[in-house]
This record gives sequence, C-alpha cells and structure tokens, in this order.
Amino acid sequence: MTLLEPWYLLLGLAVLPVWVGRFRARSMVHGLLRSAAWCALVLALAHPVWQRESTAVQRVLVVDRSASMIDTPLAALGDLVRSAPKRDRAVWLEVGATASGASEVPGAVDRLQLGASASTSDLDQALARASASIPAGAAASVWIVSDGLATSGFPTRSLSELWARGIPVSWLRAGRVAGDVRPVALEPTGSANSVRAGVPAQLEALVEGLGQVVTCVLRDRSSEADGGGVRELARVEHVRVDGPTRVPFLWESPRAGFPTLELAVEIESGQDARPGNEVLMRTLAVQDPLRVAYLGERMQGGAERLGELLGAGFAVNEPSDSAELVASDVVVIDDRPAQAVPAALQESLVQAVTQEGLGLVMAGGESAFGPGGYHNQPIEDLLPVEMVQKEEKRDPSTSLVLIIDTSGSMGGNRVQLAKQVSRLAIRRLLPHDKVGIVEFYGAKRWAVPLQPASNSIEIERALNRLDAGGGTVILPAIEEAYYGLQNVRTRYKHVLILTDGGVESGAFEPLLRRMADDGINVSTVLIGPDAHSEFLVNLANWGQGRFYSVPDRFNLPEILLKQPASAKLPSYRPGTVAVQVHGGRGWWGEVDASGVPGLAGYVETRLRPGAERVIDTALEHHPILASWRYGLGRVSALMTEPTGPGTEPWQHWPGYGALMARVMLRTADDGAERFAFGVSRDGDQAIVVAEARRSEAGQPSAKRVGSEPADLVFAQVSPNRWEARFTWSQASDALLEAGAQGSLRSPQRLVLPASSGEAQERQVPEAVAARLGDWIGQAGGRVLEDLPTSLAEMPFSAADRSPGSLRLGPWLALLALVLYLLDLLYRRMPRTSS
Amino acid sequence: MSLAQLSWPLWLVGLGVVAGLLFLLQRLRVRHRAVVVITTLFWQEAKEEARARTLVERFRHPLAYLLALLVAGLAWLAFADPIWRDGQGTRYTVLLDGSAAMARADRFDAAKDAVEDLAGRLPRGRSEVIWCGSAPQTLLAPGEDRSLLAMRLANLQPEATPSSIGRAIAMAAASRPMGADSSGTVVVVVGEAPEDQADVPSDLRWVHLPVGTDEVDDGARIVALGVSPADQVWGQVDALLTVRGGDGQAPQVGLGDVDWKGTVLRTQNAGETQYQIRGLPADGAVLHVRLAGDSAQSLASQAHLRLPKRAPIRVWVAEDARDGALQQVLQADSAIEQVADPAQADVVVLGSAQAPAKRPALRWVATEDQPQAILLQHEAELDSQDVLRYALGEFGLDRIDATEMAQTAGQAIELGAQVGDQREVRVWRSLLASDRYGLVESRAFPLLVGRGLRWLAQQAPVVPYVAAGRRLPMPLASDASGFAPAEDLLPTVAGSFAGPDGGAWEASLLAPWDPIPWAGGVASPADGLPTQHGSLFTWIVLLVLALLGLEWILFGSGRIP
Repeated sequence: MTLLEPWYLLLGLAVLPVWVGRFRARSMVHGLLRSAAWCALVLALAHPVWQRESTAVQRVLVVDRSASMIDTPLAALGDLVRSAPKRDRAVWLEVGATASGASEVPGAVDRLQLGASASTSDLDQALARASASIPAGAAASVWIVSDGLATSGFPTRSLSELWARGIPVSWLRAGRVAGDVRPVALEPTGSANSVRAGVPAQLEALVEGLGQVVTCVLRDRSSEADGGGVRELARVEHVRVDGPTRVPFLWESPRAGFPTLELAVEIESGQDARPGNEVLMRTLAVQDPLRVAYLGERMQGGAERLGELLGAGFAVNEPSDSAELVASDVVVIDDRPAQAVPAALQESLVQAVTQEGLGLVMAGGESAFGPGGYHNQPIEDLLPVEMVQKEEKRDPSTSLVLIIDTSGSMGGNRVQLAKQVSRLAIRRLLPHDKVGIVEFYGAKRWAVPLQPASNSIEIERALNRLDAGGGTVILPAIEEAYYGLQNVRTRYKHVLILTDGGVESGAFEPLLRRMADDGINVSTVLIGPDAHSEFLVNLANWGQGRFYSVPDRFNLPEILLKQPASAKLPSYRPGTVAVQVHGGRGWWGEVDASGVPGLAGYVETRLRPGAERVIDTALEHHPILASWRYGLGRVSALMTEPTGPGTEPWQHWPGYGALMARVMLRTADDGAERFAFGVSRDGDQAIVVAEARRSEAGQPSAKRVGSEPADLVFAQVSPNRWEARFTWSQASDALLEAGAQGSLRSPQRLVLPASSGEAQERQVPEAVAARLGDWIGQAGGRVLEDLPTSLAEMPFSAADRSPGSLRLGPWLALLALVLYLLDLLYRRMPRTSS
Repeated sequence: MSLAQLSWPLWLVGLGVVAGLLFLLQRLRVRHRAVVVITTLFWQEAKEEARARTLVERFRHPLAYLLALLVAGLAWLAFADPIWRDGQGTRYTVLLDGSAAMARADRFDAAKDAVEDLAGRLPRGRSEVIWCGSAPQTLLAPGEDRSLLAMRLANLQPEATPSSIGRAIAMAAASRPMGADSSGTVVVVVGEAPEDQADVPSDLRWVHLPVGTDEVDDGARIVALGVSPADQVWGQVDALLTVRGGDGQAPQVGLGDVDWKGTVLRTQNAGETQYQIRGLPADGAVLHVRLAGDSAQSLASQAHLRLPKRAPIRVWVAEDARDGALQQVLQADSAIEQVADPAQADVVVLGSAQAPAKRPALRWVATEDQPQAILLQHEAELDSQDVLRYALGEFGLDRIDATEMAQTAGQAIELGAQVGDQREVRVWRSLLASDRYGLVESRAFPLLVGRGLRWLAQQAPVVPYVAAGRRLPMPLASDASGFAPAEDLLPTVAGSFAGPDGGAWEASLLAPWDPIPWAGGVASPADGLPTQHGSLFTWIVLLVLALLGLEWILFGSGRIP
C-alpha cells in the first residue's frame, strides 16, 4: 500500500482533543470510536492505494471503415465487445471513418476516430495509436478489422513496435471485394529515374481483376491544368486480367518535368464487382534531355543536324567555354582537327572524362583521328582505337588501271612500246595489289578486268593479245576505269593512260578532277617520238598524276605508283563498305541491328585491347564504332562523320537516329553521375537517399519543388551514403530534384506518390494485404476470414499480469461513516444510571 | 458530476437509509445523565426532557439532526467517490519525453514530478498521460486512477532512443474521441522540443511545461556509425563515425577479440569530427565505439554495430562443368572460394541438366534441354518478372550480343525465369564455345558468373547502419529480387536485438539531438490547466472532518445531545 498524499496525515494530530482538554471524551469507548472515525478520514485524505495484479486484458480493435471496405460488421463486432468480461478494457479505434455508425459501438469502450474521411486507411498510424493506448505491461491484444488495403502501405513501424512489446496482432479480413477491376500501379520499367524527355520509355501498368478482359488506355493530363486537353498516348486492348497483371506501354515524354499520366481501364467483357476506381493518376519524373556538347568544324550546321538526328531527348549545343563543355553529359568531337581543339581544352576533357565521368564521343572522317592530327595529342589515349597512320609500315596497296590506246595510230612499235611500259608498271606492283587493263580503239573494253597483280600469266597473255586498230575515243575508257576503281578497296588508285596523243577532245577536266577528289590519280604516258603533248600534260595535272614521255624502248620511264613506305598514309577510306554489328541489347536496344547499311567512307583504325567493338567493316574488320570505359567515364569512337558523307547511306536508314541516340546514352550514362538517388517513406516521413558512385563524390543536395518548396539537408550515415528526411503529409506527391553540390549537371527528378485520397484508397495493390498477412502469421498473430465467436479466439500477450490498484480512500470514508453512526448510537443508547 | 463507486440512485437510496438511521438515533433516548435543576420552577421541564424508563423519545434537536445528517451524508458521498462531470470539454494529453535526451542531469526526475503534479490537477476523465520513449505508450488512460500513474512512473527511465514526441503530437492531432464535443485538445509536452515543430497541425493547441534547465549541453555524442563495402576487397568494409560536440578527442574503437589492423582517418569541420575506419573485417563481429571521457550523455557517447558477414562464396565445380574461361572468372573474383567437396559448397556449378542439385546451382545445359539460352529458377515467393528485370541489369545480360548469338545459333536467344525448388541459373553450354560465340570474351561473362553466383548464394546486402527508431536501411542497388530479410525490421531502442529470422543485430542511438527552441507556448491557466490541487473527494473529506470537529465541540459543550 502506498500513500499518494501522505502530508494529510498531519491532520491526525487533531484527534488529541478527544483525549485531552476541555472537550475530551467522557468514556473510553466514545473516545475510541470518535478517534477511529477521525483517523479513517485523515487516512482517506492521504490517498492510500493498494497495489495489486489485474487479470484484465486490454483489447484494441482497429476498425477500417475506409472507402475500399464494402461492409464493416459493426453490429457483430459490437456484440463481441459487449461479451468481454467486465474487467477488461476495450478501445475501439476507427480509421478512415465518418461519424456515422458510431452508435453500433458499445458505449462502455473508449472510442477513438483516426482521420475524418473515408479516403485514407492509414493502418500504420492506427496501429501506432493502438499501441499507444495500451499501458505498459498490460496484457493486451490488437485486432485489425480491415481488407488490408492500407494507403499507408505496409505498417512497418507500428507492427515492429507491437512486436517488440510482445502484443499479438490479429487480422479479421473483412470487407474485401472479389473481382474489382482496378489499376494499382504505373511506373517505369527499370529504375524510377530512367525516363528522359524525348527518349521512348517503357512503362508498366499493374491492373488487378478476376478474369475480365479490359482495354488499358494511357493518357497525358499534364497540360490540362494549363487549359490544354487530355491526349491519348497509348492503348492496349484485349488484356485478360486475372490477379495482378502487367501491361506494358511505350511512352515518350516531349519535355522534362513532372507530367501527370492517367491510366484508365475499360472493361471489354466480364463484370466489375465495384465500379468507380478504374482511373489511376500518376506523376512521373522525367529527366532533362541529355546535354550534348558539340565540337565540330568541318561539317557546316553539324550541331543542328546531329540534334535532328538524335531527337528531342538530346539538347545539342555548341559550348562557348570549357566549363560549359565539361558540364555536359557527353561531348561530341565531330571531324574537328586537333589543331582546332587547343591542348588546354583537351586536357580539361581528359580530366573531366577520367575524374568526373564525362562521356566523350570522337567521330569524324578526314579531319578526325589520324587524319585530323590527333596522334600524340592528350586526347589520343582516351580513344578505344589506335590510329593506324602513325605506325603504318606496310606496303600500301594499289589498284592500277592501264588504259592503252590500241587505235590505228598506235600501230607498229607504239603499241609494243605501250605494252613494255605497262609491263614495267605492273612489275612494280606487289601480289596483293590489283591491276586492270582497258583498251580503247574506238570502243572501250576491259582487256584485263581488275584482279590481283599476282595473276601475272593471265595479265601477260592479255597484254600480248592487244593489237592496234580502230579509232581513238578515250573518254569512255577513262570513265570505265573510274567506275571500276570505285568498288576497289586499296590505299592507292591509279589510272595510267598510254597513248600517242592523237585523241579526241571532250569534257575530260571535270571527270579527272572528280576522280582526283575520290583519290584516283591519273597519269599519262605519251608513246611515240613527240616529246610533249599539251593534252596529256593537262590530263595528268587534272588527275593529280604525272606525265611521262616514252619516245622509244630505250627511254622507258619508271612509273611512280606508290609513295615511299615510310610516308604518312591517308587513313580515311572513301567508298562503299559493308559493315557488321556486334554488341548486345545495351547498344542496340530496339534498333534492328540486322539492317545496318554500308558506309560511304571511314577512317581506318585498330581496336585497342579491352575496347568493345560495336560495328566494324565486314571484310577487313576495321572498327567503325567502338567504346570503352576510361577512368570514370566512357569514350566511344565513331570512325566516320555522323552527319557527313561517310554516313550518307545511313541517313535513309530508319534505325540511324535511334542508334546514335543509344550511343550517346550509353556513353553518357555509364556511371557519370556522382550519386544515385532514391526516395522512400517511413511512417510520416520521406527519406531521400544518396549513394556515392565514386570515392570522391562530394556532397549531395536535394530540394522539394512544387507546392511545398524547401531545401533538404543531408546527413552522412555511412562512407557512401547520405540521407535527408522530411515530414510528408502524403496528401500530395512529393516532387524532388537532387544532384551533387556544385555540379553543373542537370538534377535528377524523383517522385514519391501521394498515398491518401479517394482514388488511392481504392487502388491499393493486393500485395500490401498479402504482406500484412504474412507478417502477422510470422509474428504469432491470427488471420481470420470470419468473425470469431468469442474474444478468446484472439491471442493476447500473457507475459505479465497487468498492474492494477485499488483506491482505499472511499472505503475509509465508508468506514468513517460506520464509526460515526456507531458513535451516535453509543452516545444515544439509553443506559441504566449507575 | 458522476460517481465512481456507485450510481446516483444507489447513492440516494443509501443516503435515505443513513437519514433514516439518524432519525432513529435522534429519537433514541439519550443516555441517562444527571440534570441539575436550579429551581423547582423548571422541574417539570427537566422531567420532560430527561424522561426516565423510555427508549424512544419525541424528535427534538432538528439542527443537531441536520448536522449529523450532513456529516454522514458527506461521508457517504465520499465513499461514492464523486467526480465532476468531465466527459465533455477540453481534453488534455500530457506527453512525457522518454528519449535519451532526458537522461541529462536530473531532467527526467523533474519531468516525472511535473507530470504527476499535472495529472493530479487535470480532469480525470478528459486527460491522459503518454510516455514518449521509443514509441508513444499510455501511462494513464482517461478515467484511470492517478495512483496508476505513480506506479507506472516509478521505475521508468529514459530509453536509448530518439524522441517520439513528434509522433505523439501527430497522433493526438489525427485522433479524437468519438462522440466528444468540439472543445478540442490541449497537448502538454514535458520534455524536449520535437524536431519538426513546423509540422505540428495549426488547429492543435500544444504547450510545453518547462522542467529542469534548458542550458546547452555540449557533450560529445555519436551521430553516425555506418559501413560500406570496401573497394575491391570482398571480405572488408569501411566505417564512418561522426562525433558532434566535445573536444575532438579520439574515440576508442574496438572489435572485441578480433585482430584488426585497419586505419582511422580523421577530419573535422563545423563542430563535427568524422572518422573513416578502413579495412574492417566483414565477419559479423561487433564494432564498439566509445567516446573518451565521462560524458554526461552516456547513452549517446557509445555506439555498436554488428559488421556484415561477407564470407567467401564457396563454389564447387563439377568435373563436366570445368571450363577455362569459367575458371579464370572464378579465380579473379575475390568473393569466390573454390572447394573440392560439394558438401561444403554454397553454390555448385554443374555440367548437365539431369543431375539433381541439392544446392543452388549454375548449370551448363544442352541446347535441347531448354528453349531459353539463359533460364533463372527462383523460389515461389519471388515474381519472375522482377527476377528477370533484376538479372537483365545486374547480370550484365543487356550487354550480351543476342543478335550475333542468334545468328550463330540459328535460333532465338531468349532469357527466361521460372519457379523451382531452389535457385538455379541455367545457361546453354554451347554459349561457352568461344569459337562460335563471343560470350566468354565479352564483359558480360564475368558479370553473369560473378553476380549470378552471388544471387544463387543469396548474399545479403550490406546494411549501412542500424539506428534506434529507424527502419533498417537497404542499399539502393540491393538485391531487388527478394533477399531483404531485415527490410521490415525497426529497432526501437539502442542495444542488441534479434530479428524475426533470428538474426542478431546491434542498434545504436545515433540521435543528433541539439537543443531546439520551443515553438509552442508555455503551459498556463489560459490553456485551461488548473493551478490548484485537489479532487472532489479530498474536499468532501476535509469538509466531513471540519463538521466532525464542530459536532464534537458542540457535543462536548452540551449544545447537542
């Protein structure tokens, strides 16, 4: 027994006058009765309490009355509670309810209401309230009367608290609707941050139902608030919904931000057990377009053309300074010679790629790689290919077409002289070189089609067969040689015209200049006693070749067909070349890799060890597109001009833009970000997590945007993890932008969807309920499908008896009353006088 | 007003009985006594008053009767234990802060006294006392006797946990008694200010009751202790320790009996000192950190963390599954340890589809054994779509050149997942032929083998930290295919605890409490808080005592019989 207010005991001293003084009692009995009554009252004032154990059980009923419940058995529950022993205490906790229906609840229990509308079923808070209402040490049990479809998701925190206290939680599964067709989720496939403006993204809808066939419609409601209409984006018909069913959509957001999409489910066949929840609204995070910094020079309007090629998912700009350059997601150097990329800029690019994870795409033709002078430049080491020009030691291959005049004027020694010169020229060729002979004699004819020079016997035989006769029409012969050489892949292409100069006039100059532009040199040999021919000299000049004079067989010239082996070689190889593809889905995605057309020119390079070959030439396996990681970034090399003549055949290939987009994405997206971000909820808090993707990532930063803008404060919790927490009402989407402090890169957008509201209440996935059932089963609770007949069916914690107490004050007051009455009786009882 | 012990009718019946008894006693003849008659003139009157040989006399002395009735009636009322009708009106929720912050000095004892005092003054039927330790919990429910509060407070101590005052306030704001009037609720906080005072609903009246001293305690406290996998070393982790306040003295870091030769790097800025503890063995040992000195905040000056277990994955490779490329990958992976006995293996690598596997298996199968080039078998609890999605990125399968493979194989290259008894990764054996496919030479192959074996071995992700009052955090890139045993775990207080699966954990306080200015008002009578003690029972008993004393004096002086 304890006294709560012992200081009242001092009043006990006032009993002394009963025994001493003027008013003392006249008899012992009288004095004792009066003193006892007085003391009982004084003791009552001291609030004595008798501590004892209680066998009472505290029962908390969490009754879900939210909109997702079709029927809550209030009356039956009320009867059940009334049947509880009187000593037990019951708490009736309604969640998601209006005031109606409260009359069903027995008045003897504590009745609490959580929330004032049926649009939420925050089971987490309800269970936390249930836990809070149970005094420490009390034997208790908690029941949930619910369909388990809580808008708060799985109530981790509150269940953990109850579990830690040893209070069993049981679940009466009530109010469920079988066959309710409803969309419950719409989210991007893969990571939540993977949707980028202008890039097709795969979305996945989750629809629940029971055997119905439905049409799923995806609509854009982003512009509705601005007065715009609702736009249908995609439609998937004839979807049979049986349990949780995934429905894929392909969607491309035209702009970055937080667009709102609507997923509507229309029933084709079957019955919806509970209509009214067939439309799901979701806000998605769409990341900024990839920022592509374009450094070009040779291609006029290259940035614009690259932008058109890549589409809306890429913002291609020409940076004004190096800071803007390295702040991009990927830098494209397109056919820009090394001298136009200062060494300092190259150094900063190298730094950004290796240290910051910047993506770099080196592309181009005659002004890139070796031809662009990148040998021994800082950027060279970054490239996944080696420039073959700098180390070229091999004998360059040559194609030689001999055009031999066999007209009548070449009769006698002249044609033999031409054959001698031809033999000398052919002898200078190596076996892998190619040679062809065109004779003209009024008409043109391939005496020897282009073939390896190793076929010397056949070539010699053809030469021997040549004989003079006919007219001199040379232009068609040169054209024939030109066309023949276009399909030949050799380093050098040479045409040697052997004639006595008596040829017709014609439009030679344009043809020869064009041949020269295409890398075909034309040399002329004047056969005969004339020392000079203005016409043949001009032909040689236009064809960027040489003029030779052969007056007789004693003055045969040495025809120069090749540069010395030690000379720099042109590594750009024009002409149509077939290509073949490699690389997995990561490179090609949805692009049909089987239909890649040939190229019209490329720079020959060699793949570096460790680099990934994505496209190469079909015959010689020279890399066309290669990539590798370098430092923290990725570098890709495209050995042709993305918007220039080399890729002219690709301009009409439907997959070209998509391929280039994937190249940019792949190059830029491979670990470039310093942090990976995620957002989740924990009770009434939202947690933004930043995980460093590299050792020197710096500090993350994040802010809320939208209706409740605020900067978030991160705290580092482990070597590579930071967390920021904020209280979140869950009534509206939490919109966030996050990135690295001081970074010029675009922030990552994140969304934490709202979880309260009429729509959300009826669109909670069944998985939430299933998880609740699993947890309760594992934690020792019971899951019942029907109302129990007795409270005893619900387990309660039985670790200790509940502490209880008995206030003795009122009983002492009653004692005092009895003593007082006895006192009066004693005082008044008649007695015989002594 | 209502009665706790009796109903009003019963009390009235009882009062009637008492009144009747008193009436009878009033008519009962008073005890014989000698009456001195000073003159014979009064003799007749004295004879009438002191009539002899009669038990009952006529009713006289009505004032004396009323006095006796008042005394007895009030005593009867005291027994009935009247309480003012307090079901209606402002409701009071008293929140007692039980967080570790209250362990400073005598703060908690002062808070307990204040709560007891306040509870004694508040209407019993409309007030409750909530303990805000690891989780809000009732100390005194509405209508419960205050004596229970004293009992429940007696052995309470602050818990090694962050404050749950904020949650309790939110709870009070969200819940209201059904059928109650709209007088509202006043929340009285006894303790530290909640962190997010701006989030307190504006329609909730909340005040605080100052206790102890609000002076700033600059004692050193640990606000972060977390781990991350060490770079490129499978069996090691790095730890971060952040200490706020104090004089920057080095903490004592220990691993019990574990021999540890790591490094500690120290950086200091903005009142915090960070320590990077490198190269800790990931063997499940408990990392102990204790700040030097006798900090007043002892609960916050120590932290413990059970380091993750990252034992090597024991792999047994069957004879018919041996392959040069596979061997290279296994040898290069620091997480993998090859064993010679299949009984010791966590994962087996098998070479045929027929042999039943008793363990998770990476299996090379013949092309005709399965239509998919790569097939993942998983337990029934997982969703095949989720498993496929996870595998596509994590196993590097998106980097496999499926087109080229399909051209080479002459059939479609597909990836599939199915439910099975245990996890398996089944791959066409023919894909290992480097002269036909480029799989083994691609960067995807080591990923497929390494990550695949980890998935098969169900290696748990490294939990970054374990803090009281916070759900166990999972790494962002953790195994999304279902292996997160502690995801739903929430340690309520610092210390050792066991998870539902029997796993042993150590939680630390890690509560960066800094004194936060109060935004709410100070508790005052304006909030309806009574300033005086005293229940109705007390006042009634006091009145009974007073009347009893008066009656004694009147009786002693002969004014009443």
